[in-house]
Amino acid sequence: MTSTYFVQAQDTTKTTATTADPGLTFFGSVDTYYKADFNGKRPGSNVGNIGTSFATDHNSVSIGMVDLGVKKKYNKALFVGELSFGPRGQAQSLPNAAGVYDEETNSFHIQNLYVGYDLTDKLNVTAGYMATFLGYEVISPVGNFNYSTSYMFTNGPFQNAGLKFTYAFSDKVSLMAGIFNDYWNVYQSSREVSTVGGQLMISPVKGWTAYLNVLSGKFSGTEFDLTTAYQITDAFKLGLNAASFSAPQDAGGFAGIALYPQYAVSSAVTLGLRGEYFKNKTKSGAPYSYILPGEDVKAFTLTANVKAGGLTFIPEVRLDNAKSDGSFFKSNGTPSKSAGQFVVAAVYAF
Amino acid sequence: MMKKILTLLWVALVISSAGYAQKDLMSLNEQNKYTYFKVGVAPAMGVNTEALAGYLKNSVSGLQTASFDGPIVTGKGGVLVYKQGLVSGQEEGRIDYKVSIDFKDSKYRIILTDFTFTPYQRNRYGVFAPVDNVNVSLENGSNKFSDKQLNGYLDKLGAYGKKLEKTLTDFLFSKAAVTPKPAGLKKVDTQSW
Repeated sequence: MTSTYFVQAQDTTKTTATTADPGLTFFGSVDTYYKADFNGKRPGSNVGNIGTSFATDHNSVSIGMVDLGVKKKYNKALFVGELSFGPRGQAQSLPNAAGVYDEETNSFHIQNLYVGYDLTDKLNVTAGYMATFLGYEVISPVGNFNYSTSYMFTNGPFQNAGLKFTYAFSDKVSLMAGIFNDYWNVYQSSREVSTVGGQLMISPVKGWTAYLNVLSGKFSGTEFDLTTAYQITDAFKLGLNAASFSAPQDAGGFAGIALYPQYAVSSAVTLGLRGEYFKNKTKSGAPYSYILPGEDVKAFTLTANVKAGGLTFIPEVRLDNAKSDGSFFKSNGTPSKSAGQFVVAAVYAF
Repeated sequence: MMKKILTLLWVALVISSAGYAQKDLMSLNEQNKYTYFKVGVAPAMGVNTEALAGYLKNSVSGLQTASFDGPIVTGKGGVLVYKQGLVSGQEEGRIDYKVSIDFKDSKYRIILTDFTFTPYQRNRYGVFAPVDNVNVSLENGSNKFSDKQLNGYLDKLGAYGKKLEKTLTDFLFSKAAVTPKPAGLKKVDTQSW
């Protein structure tokens, strides 16, 4: 049972005003799910047809992760340390020390590890290993409405280790610029700190926030991303994510756009739809989440969030339709243009 | 043993009731907005409102702006509200307010009102931050917080207003409060010896 108490805001410009130390803050979540792929498993694998980052196991009551974080912000200084354990919190989202996604060898389990400092009232500097600033969706199930993930999320960066400065012109406009390790997601650079990134945040009207993002490096490629959400009425929210990625040395890339309309039918129940178009721009070479070079896919995901305190129950149906056969398979192993799945998940956030 | 238990219960009751008593310091104004309103004694001589504005900005945690216009000091501020659980202490939201202090007939009048609540949520970086620049007035926040939470906010706003008022009175009855009179020159008769 929680109660509310009140602490005066931390104001770093006051030389004589005293603020209470809020102490350490703990946060986290646990999640578990069951998924049924309408076509069964992909041939030769234990996973379903759709290349979602999480909720991968077909016909199994499976776990996502235990996520545990600690943070403290007092006056001008901040630190955050966040660990995760389980498939979602290990090989599905984090590389190991060698930079490889391998279930057999341990990772550091670190989702976020960074420190920050308010240089002035408006200027902040942050450094460490941080969740990426690109994209609409995130690793934590607490931060997503849908339980399965979009193609743009799965194929974009998950983390960026580096140093960034954020200047808040006002509560409606801010600008971030940073330098990051040469490759996405890895705990250490391969050679150098050579990826640059920037984010412009604008909030034109109350309830509407938009982020224009760019991340570019000679080893990591270049991604442009637009992420925006507008709480149009108390009940209706509309989100949009658009991204274009070009791999280094003209090795291909992807492009996509997704809409996220959500409607709160009650204080406890919200319905949402994700409609995504995703294209593998590569002419030849590797697929992106099973989507073959030159192919595109339309994915429709209908999700409900049913909340009871810290618990969210998430039933979801998803249908993906590719341009031609080959990205998906039927239950008899023959190539198919379409795939579908049903997921029911439970997430507890604290 | 029974005596010790009863003593502990009594102490707990006193502590909890002291916290909740601050809600009684809040009221509704003519527009049915939650308001901290107090009238008190001010120095008979004029108050240096410029100095007061500067003093409040430097002394009151959460006060973001403070300015003066003649006998009136106005400002805006915000305070964070934390959820208290067994292991949390996470930011639940921020309550923004407007404050005005004016003076008349050796009295001060302090008003805190226009409270708006901005809910916070955990973001991808593990910190709690405003959600999509959405806020709601404290009077219309039934879909953002429960009655119990509202009562908690009002308790603490009452305590905050009381503390702000104490800061005001500390200033009023210090030397810096008084508007200095223009330095008067003595008149002399240069013809006298």
